[in-house]
Amino acid sequence: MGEQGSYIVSLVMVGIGAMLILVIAFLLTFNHSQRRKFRHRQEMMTLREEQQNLLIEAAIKAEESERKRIAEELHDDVGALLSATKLYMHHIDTGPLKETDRLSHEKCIELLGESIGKVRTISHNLHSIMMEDMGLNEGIRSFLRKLEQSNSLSIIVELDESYGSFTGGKDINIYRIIQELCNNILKHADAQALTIRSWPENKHVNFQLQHDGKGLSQEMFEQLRFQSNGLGLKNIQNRVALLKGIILFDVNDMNSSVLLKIPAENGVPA
Amino acid sequence: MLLEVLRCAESWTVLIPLITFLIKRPISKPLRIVFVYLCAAFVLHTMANLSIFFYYQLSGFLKYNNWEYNLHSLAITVCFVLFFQSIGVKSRWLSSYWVIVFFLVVSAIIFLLIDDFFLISSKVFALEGLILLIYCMYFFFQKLKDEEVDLDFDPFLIIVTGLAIYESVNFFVFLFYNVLMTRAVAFASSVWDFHNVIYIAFCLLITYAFNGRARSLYR
Repeated sequence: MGEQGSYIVSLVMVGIGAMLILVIAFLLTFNHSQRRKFRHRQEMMTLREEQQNLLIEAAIKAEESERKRIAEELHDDVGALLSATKLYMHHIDTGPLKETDRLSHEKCIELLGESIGKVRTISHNLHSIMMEDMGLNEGIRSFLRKLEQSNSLSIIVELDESYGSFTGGKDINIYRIIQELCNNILKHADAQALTIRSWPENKHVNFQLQHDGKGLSQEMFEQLRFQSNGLGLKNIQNRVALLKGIILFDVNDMNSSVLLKIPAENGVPA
Repeated sequence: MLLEVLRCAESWTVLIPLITFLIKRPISKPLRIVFVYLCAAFVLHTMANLSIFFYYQLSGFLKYNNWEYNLHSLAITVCFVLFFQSIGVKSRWLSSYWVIVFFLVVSAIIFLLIDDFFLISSKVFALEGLILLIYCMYFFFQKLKDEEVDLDFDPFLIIVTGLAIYESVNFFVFLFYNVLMTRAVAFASSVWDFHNVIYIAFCLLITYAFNGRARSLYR
């Protein structure tokens, strides 16, 4: 190998080395840049999610306080007025009245009683005093008792008592989700029997609603919640997101079920 | 023995991604173009190796294997320019088909007027390296410019990474191969073994891309 040969060999070796270093440096820089971009995008997504949750929380809080206000006004004002009217009606001397008028008077008292009951039910549905006083499970039981009384639906409730109340207003969100799901089952499922269970599992508390009617699959739920008239389902999804929980719909030949998984630390609601 | 296996690497190493492709059968068009390249590479490299093994039995141009490497250079350039076009790496002002036409015309001029087609042409090899490296860089810059970072497994990124390593490391080998063959034959032989090692890495990366594990590179 001559001097020129050695020179070319050196040139090739330096060239290969330089290209190797360059390509490795470039690939490392590219990888680092992509990682940084990915982290930044994740941070932005978390921030956006947090902001969205804050908005949902504010909307839900406003909705709850409005429900409470309407419930209180219905219960304390309209309910009280109706009760007073009923009292006055009772004080009417029906002796001198004709038979037909007496019957009308009795019908008035009966309808007033029914109205008072309806106002109380609406008021309790809007704002569960039972849940506020006795906790989530008792609130759900009370709601389901009323549901069973007013409908032909047979309801079995199997709620686990090992977990206590959820903090930070989570109770009300779970209660509302179950309320909305039950109302949907009543309205659309054409079910005869409904079973509600709850049980703690690892870092979650699970609530399951199982019925023998027409149910939704997960796919249908995902489609329906984006429709403009799917306000109830949208509301459910917002509350689930706020609870950082998971909602799973399942439908098969025998029955349909909805599983709600709410995060809980060491089996204790967080 | 190991050196002999390494010298035949260009044939057997191509079989790894080829078999993986036939097992996995990816439906993506760009991956099919890579498969076409691998088929061409397998045929050409196997013919090149057989020319050496049956040197005394063969006659005429079949005795020599350099023209098969020249054809390989044409095949890799055409296939990968088409591959880049199918994954969206293309210039607004220069169609990939014009790049292919340009490369083929320049190669034809080189073979007709400057170099012998039956001897390795450093010029064609270097042109191949240059074109494919420009495409690789363009691909990476497009990725860097893109605001979205795809979290899914990206087989194209893996293939382009392999190609970038192969072309960049071998660029100087290709550029000076003719000179080395006349002035430093032993070194030229060693440097081709090194080229084979890089080619094995390239084929393994293609195999990895064909295998397509569903996880992100950046997680």
